[in-house]
Amino acid sequence: MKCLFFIFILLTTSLAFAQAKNVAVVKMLRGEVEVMTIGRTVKLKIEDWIEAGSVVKTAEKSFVKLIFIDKSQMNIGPNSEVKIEKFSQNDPGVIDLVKGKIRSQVTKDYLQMGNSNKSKLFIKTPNAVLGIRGTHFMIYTNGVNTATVLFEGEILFNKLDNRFTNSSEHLEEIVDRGVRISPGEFSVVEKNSTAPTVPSILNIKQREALEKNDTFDRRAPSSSEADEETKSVVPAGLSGKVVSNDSSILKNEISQVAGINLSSHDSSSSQDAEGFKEGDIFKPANGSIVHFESGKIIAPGADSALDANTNSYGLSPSVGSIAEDGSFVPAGGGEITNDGKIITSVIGPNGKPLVIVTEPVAIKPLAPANVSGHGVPTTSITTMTPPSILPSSPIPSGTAPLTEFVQQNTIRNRTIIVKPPLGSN
Amino acid sequence: MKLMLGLLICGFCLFANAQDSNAKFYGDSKDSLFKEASNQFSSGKYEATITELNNLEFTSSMSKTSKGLIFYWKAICYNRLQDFSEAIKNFDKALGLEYSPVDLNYEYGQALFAAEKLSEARLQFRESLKKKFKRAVSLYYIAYISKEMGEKKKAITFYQAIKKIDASESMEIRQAAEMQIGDIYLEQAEKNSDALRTIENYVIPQYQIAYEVDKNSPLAPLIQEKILKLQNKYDLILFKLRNGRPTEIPPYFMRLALEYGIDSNVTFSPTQQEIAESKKNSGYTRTDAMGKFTFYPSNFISIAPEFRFNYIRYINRIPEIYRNDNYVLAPAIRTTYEHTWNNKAASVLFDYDYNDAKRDVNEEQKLKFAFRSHTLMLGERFNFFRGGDSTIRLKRRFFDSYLDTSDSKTLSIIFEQNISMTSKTLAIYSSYDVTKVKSSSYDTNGLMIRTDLIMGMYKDWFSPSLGIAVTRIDPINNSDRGIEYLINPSFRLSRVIKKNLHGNLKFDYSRYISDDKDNFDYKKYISGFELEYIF
Repeated sequence: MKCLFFIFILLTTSLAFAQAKNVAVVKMLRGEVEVMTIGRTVKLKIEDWIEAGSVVKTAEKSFVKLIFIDKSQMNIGPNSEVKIEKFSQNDPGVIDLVKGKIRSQVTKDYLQMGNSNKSKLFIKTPNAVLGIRGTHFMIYTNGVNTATVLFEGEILFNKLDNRFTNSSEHLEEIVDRGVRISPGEFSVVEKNSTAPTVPSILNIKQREALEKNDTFDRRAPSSSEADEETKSVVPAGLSGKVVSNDSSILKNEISQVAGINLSSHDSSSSQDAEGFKEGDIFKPANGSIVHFESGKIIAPGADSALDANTNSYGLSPSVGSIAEDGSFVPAGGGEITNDGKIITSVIGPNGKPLVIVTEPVAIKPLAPANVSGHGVPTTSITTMTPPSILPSSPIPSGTAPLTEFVQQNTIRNRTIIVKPPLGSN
Repeated sequence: MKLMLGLLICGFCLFANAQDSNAKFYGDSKDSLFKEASNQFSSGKYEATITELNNLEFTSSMSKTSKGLIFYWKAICYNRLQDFSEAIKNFDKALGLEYSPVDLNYEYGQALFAAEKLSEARLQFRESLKKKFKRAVSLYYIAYISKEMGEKKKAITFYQAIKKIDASESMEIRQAAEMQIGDIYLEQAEKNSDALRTIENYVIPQYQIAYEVDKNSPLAPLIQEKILKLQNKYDLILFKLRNGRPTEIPPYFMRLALEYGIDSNVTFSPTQQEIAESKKNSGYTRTDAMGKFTFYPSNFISIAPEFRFNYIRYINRIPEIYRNDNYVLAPAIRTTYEHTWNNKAASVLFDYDYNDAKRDVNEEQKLKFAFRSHTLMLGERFNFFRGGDSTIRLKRRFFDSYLDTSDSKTLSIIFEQNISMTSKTLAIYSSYDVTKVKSSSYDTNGLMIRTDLIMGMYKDWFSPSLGIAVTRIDPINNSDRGIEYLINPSFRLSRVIKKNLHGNLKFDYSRYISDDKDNFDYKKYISGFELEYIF
């Protein structure tokens, strides 16, 4: 009897221990997802529990949604590897994103624990760390660069030199020295950078598309979609700022007709819409696109229009477009590789196809676009008669003057004056 | 009956109550949807805003104005999302409800512009202009669309109209407009075979105007790049001197010309104090070579050594004709000192010319010394009249003839004026010469006025030029000759045959009127064809 009682005690205790180590449960799953716990790898199923210290791996086109013990949810995207280093209801958790993508919605309960000025969860990547103060964000790393975007709440982000640290205090210190990201903003830590980029507003279309694509199941662009190109509203020669309409009339109309006063966008860190680069400090232009797979930033383009309502630039059609899944589609039927290179096929001068590989431009050009995407109808050009347009103003003083007797000669297609016959001077 | 009436009243009350709560529900729902749409719009979530507005669209009890607002609002959201076809549909619907806030036409115009519905876009920008909304940008759009539609003249008119708008609204736009005008000139110039002249005289100066609007703007480097590109393409890199005058580009100039022509009355005048007409015609060949290189030791001085060679041989080999065979060697050095006068570029000119001529003066079919001359010239080129440069020169020439009696000294005062007009240049030259000859019976005072009209390319085929010179000669010590006149009209057609190779057809008529009919009075015409190569 004593023996039986002892066995019972032992079983219940070990069960209780086991239960205590479980930190998240699988609520949704697509494709192949594995979990590795103490050298043992098993395929995950819905309602499986995951213990602290486990590593979750997703295959291509796979995804898993975990609900943590505090009701926070974490969606792990395809080709990802995530280690749950520690997670408890009372202390900040530490998640190591070795590679891939995480979408997370942290519950308010979890956030309410302890000091509201401290991070409640840390997500580390090989070169960056994110301190979460709330609530809805996405982070992606390819193992070299890390990019993050916030949909709601507040996060702190910084470069991480030692990825093996999991002390909450130390991580808190690091994120405190980093950048504070507001909703709609993004930041990137590149391999060779000393600090994350100054937070900037993510392209509004990409932001909305990413926000909707929380289970990573939105389809990637089809080739026909990629071919759908619009033109820029900015005519050549002007900047996107000067053609921008500030929506004040719309706001006034809404106020008059619906009786609602609209507030303005007030993200102080994103005030400089153009962006800048000063030494190691890089502030991408508001409205930039992030290619999350590579962590590369793509500037909106010289002929992009400023949206005064969000103080951010729209994506210029000459640069590309945003697909339904929030990914970037380069203009001209190009493709972007996982290391952020744009590959475009063109027909070369000899009629043979050429493949052009370019790096995306991260800094928005200051000069307005020189050429707009609008074609010039050639038929109408031929109807022009040259002298009718040229001005009647005199040759400016800077041009070569005529001298002495005049004989018109055309020299290198230009008019020159030859001196009078010899012997007459 | 009472029961029936009671039920009726009861039913009516219930219905009225239900209607009231329904209206209240829809009213509340409408307000909350508007609120939600506003929140989404404020945070830049335009797709979410459109979803809320779509829900609003289907609620009842919506006034025409509210519906108009919804369509207008949705259209603006679609514009921000760059979904221009949806934006256009919604702007149309708003306008259909006669809902037209002041910026609607502008936003609608932008959507149509992006959708490449250019003529419709232009109409909307015209409406925007009428409403005085973003006038300068609206004008720019109208001009830009006109240019894209091939209506270049209209485009220029609208671009120029931007200048009339208050500078604070239009500075950046004005600079872009000036650049666009330059682009139009360039497009036009590059279709002409005489592109370089137009580019040099109109396109680059127009880009300069654009650049001057704001040298520190983001557009300024782009304009500079355009200028540099053109200067490189057309060998026009202008290194300016301190007063803004451009340097010669390239610094060298070489010309070789071969001419064949017919002289109707070959005249003999080796000393320039006598004229002997042969009254015979002859063909002739003429070779002319010239080279010049301009040095700039500093940004205010230019020194240009020059060398010319000219050889004429007559076909008709009778003595009174072939005695006119001659060649001339003519080295010279030309210098300028650049400065400003009246805040405009000006140059002090100092030239030295040496001429050495040989001629078959003895009718031996041998060329012998005919004359040599040294000429010093001091002048000033300045910009006084709007039309172009003016030049005043004072010239002193020492003439040494093979006949001692014909040695002479001449003092000349010269005035030149260039007037540039639309694709034409008018050059006016006048000089007053006082010539003192060793044999004083040949002393003369002469006044010459010459005008030349140089026209641009005619129908891309040739460039004509017309000239007329009238000279009044007063042989002060020889009353037998009376006051003499030389009238000399000329006409010339030039055509580019191949790059750097030109063909020139010339016609020149001379009439010398003198009381001394035997020795001075004559008339003749020369017609010739010249092939000219410029290195």
